[in-house]
Amino acid sequence: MSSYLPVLVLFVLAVAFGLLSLLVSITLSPKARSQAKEAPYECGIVPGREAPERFPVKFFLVAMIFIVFDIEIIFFFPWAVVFRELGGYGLAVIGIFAALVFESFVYLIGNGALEWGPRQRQRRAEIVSPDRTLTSTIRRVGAEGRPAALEPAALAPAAHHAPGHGDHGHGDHGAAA
Amino acid sequence: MLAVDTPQYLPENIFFGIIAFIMVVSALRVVTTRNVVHAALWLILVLAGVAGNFILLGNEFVAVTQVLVYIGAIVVLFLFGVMLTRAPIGADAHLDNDQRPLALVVALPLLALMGYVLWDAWKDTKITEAGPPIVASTSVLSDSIFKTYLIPFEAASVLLLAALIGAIVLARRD
Repeated sequence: MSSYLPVLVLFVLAVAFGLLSLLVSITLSPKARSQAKEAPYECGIVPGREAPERFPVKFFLVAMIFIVFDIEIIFFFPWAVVFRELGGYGLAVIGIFAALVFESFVYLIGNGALEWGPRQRQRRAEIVSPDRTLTSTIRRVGAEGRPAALEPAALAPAAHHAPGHGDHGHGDHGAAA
Repeated sequence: MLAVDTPQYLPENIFFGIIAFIMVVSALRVVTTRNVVHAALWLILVLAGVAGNFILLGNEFVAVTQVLVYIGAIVVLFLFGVMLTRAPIGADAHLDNDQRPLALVVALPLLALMGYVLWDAWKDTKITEAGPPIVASTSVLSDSIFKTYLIPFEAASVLLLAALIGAIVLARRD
């Protein structure tokens, strides 16, 4: 029991520190109260409305996850004490136990229970679409910011130019043919 | 009832008295405070006293369990319940209601029953150095979990699974 003496000393010190801090702040701090000082701080913006009274129910899931895994950890303590005596049997037993609890966690993630914020729709990015070609990409970049009338005229020579001189400019293209 | 009056156990007896006093005061504050959140915080003090008593008895595992499960989990669940429902966060004058006689009818027989059971089980037994330890050590507990009570132990994991799935069903928006 004497091994708990440091814990007791720490406890007494913690309580004493808390009380002393309170006492010092009560006795030494200047008391100049005003409405602006009492208002909740919102980065300098005057608070416009009350905070919402109810929180999203998703917080409940976080609490439940915490509790379930808290209790799972509790069962790990007695296992850890007799870990060497139990050996493989203990590992199998605790493995089944942990797997069953972890299964619920997988189900939870699969249900999107931990996805916060508004629902995000997956949008197809057209710039990096898999069916793009060299010419389509070049045309899009080249046409950017130009008047629409100029576009065919500016690109027409380049489009005809590349196949015509394939053996000259592109060595790999000529080898494949 | 359980304490010994030999001088060797004097510190334990003193600390039991201190802890018991703190617990009784906190338990009274739990039911008399006008603020739900404060009631949960006073409850922490009561449960911490229980953990302290288990340490005085020399059973660290149950004390740790008390802190982790009751202070860590149950009180957190209470506070989340206050947060998620329409319960007022601040002080509330209407926290009390007129069901005190009914509560008395429930509480007094319960107190009598539990007091009688405790007295009947121990009468004036005292913890002595020579006698067998009243509280089993953690390794004894481990043995009984992994040998005698293996099936209930594994069933507990299914219970935890059910708790989480129930939480998902409650929290799901459909």
